[in-house]
Amino acid sequence: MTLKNRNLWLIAPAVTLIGVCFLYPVLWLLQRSVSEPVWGLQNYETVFGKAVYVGVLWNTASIAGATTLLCALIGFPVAYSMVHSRPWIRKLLIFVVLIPFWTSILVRSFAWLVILQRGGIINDLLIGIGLIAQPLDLVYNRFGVLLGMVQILLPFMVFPLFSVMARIDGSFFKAATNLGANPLRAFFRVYLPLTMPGLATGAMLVFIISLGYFITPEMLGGRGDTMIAQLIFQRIDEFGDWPLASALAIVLLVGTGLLFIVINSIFKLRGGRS
Amino acid sequence: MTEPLLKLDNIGKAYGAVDAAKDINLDVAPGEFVTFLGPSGSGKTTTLMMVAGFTEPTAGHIHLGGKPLDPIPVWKRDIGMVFQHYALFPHMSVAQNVSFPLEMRGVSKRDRKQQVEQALEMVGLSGFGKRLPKELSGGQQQRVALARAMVFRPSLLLMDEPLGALDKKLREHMQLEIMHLHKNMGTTVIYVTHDQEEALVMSDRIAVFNNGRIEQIGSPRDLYEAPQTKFVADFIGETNFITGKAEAVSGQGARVRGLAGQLGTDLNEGAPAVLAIRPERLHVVNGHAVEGDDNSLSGTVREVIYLGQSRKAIIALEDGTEVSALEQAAQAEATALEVGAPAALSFRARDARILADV
Ligand SMILES: Nc1ncnc2c1ncn2[C@@H]1O[C@H](COP(=O)(O)OP(=O)(O)OP(=O)(O)O)[C@@H](O)[C@H]1O
Ligand SMILES: [Mg+2]
Repeated sequence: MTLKNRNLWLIAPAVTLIGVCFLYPVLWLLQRSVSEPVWGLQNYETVFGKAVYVGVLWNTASIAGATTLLCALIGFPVAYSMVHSRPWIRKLLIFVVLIPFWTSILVRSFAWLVILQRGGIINDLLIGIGLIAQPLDLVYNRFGVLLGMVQILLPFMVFPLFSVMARIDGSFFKAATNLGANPLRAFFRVYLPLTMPGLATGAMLVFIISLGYFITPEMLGGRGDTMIAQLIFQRIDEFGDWPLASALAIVLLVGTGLLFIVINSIFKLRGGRS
Repeated sequence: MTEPLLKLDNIGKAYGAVDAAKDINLDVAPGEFVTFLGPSGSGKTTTLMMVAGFTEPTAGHIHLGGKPLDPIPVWKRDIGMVFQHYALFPHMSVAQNVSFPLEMRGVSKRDRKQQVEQALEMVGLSGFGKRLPKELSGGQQQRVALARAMVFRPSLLLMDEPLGALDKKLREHMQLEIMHLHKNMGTTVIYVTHDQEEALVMSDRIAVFNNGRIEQIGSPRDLYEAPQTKFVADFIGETNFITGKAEAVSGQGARVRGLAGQLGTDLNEGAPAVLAIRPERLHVVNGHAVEGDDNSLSGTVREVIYLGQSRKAIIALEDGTEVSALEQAAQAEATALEVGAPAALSFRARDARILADV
């Protein structure tokens, strides 16, 4: 605790806000999930017992995982170029990476539809130049979901990586090559480990935000790509099934929290973020 | 000189129109300790980086052990290097850091362990292997960097201002340790510093850099006693300059403003020149002339500074040039000096150097 006790009132507004708008609803959900239709864990048994629900949990984890992996693979070279390019190229890259932030998530998802659908720009183009005869299914499937999510979440990977990479002294890489490591080995043995704090922060942000994604999988995904947030919405919207929706929400919350704690403690143990 | 280990043959590095280093010629003998000395921006690091392979020369050739170094990439050069801020890998323990070059060379795990222990013992850090670099003091990190650069027994060891980050006392201690290591291991060392005292203490030979060029190469004694340029005379130790024109140029000697000295470089009659004389070679005359001194000067005492074991007098000559004379305490006692009083000075022609004034 860095705040002196007498200055605690400074955080009173935040505490109130979290208490009223977050803690109270969560407790309310928790209560409904274990008390209806009767007291007990029957709702959780359904969530973890029925194939449909387990399938959705698996979808959620695997889509979030794939999004994280893709963001890391795409974001790493982007962040690296940002650090190691001339100032004007760096500004341009920052701008390009940030653009998605300035447009609404709905607009962007519609834009992807226009681009990817069967009569969309890409298919028209590919058929036009004779590369394919039948339009490709580029949307309403896993590919579409991942494309949309990666584009939106990329900045959350790029910026933590960028800030860590910018602080890595160039002499570490030089020292590694001087000591006999070819550039590839120097990268994997020295540079990559030094970017770990940024990679971990970025991965955690992307993964955790992905877990609760709704609009993108709803608009760009198919039947098999339902994620947990969509399921919660469905249960309430179509069936008024608050108890099960509450249980799902609690599972999402607890899962996210556990993940956060695990990743954090791995990094504390490794003495990371030095 | 035996076959040189390292040969810099007219190498240079130009960044656009700027010459970071130019016309660098240097032969380093096996086992020699050579220091690059010069002010900031004079091209020392640039030259060192060309040897290490981080910077490609835009002119000339480098040979190591008789073989051209130019086509060999950094990681195959087998040259040890200690970086200014050590560049110890922060995510690896001390032992892992020292083991790294061995691992890259495919040394077996057992041999690695043994050689790492030996190297750490050599720098007095046995038992520190498990620590992380950030858990060590500056001096200890410095030693780890040394151990890591020497553990694979490179024929050549480069050090770029390795002691720059340490305080004075630790720096002096590490100077001695590096000298001992150099003697014991027989490694050839190129050492960069802009501290002239450090260079004088440690080196077999010093290359004085200025504006991307080597002004003079020689033993510490050569550079101090027989500088060939005004820059070298000024940069190494303290010197008084008396400015004028080269007169009575003949063979080894010449005169500036009637004062005789040794020619430090070729000068034409009438060329702008300075006479350089070290403060300890300038004697304050007490009554009768000092024996053997063939030049004399007079002026007014401006300042007398008590330095314990010696005394320094600042004297203004008739034209306003200030010179300083340094005397050992015993001699100083014999000549009382008062500020504002006239004083006579003398020196030997063979102690004075006449150099081009540029
Ligand atoms: N990458 C570069 N691009 C342009 N100029 C450079 C570059 N690297 C060095 N220089 C210039 O070359 C000159 C020599 O630099 P160098 O680093 O060799 O000096 P140094 O003698 O090591 O100085 P210091 O004692 O400050 O380390 C300087 O004027 C510097 O500005
Ligand atoms: Mg330098």
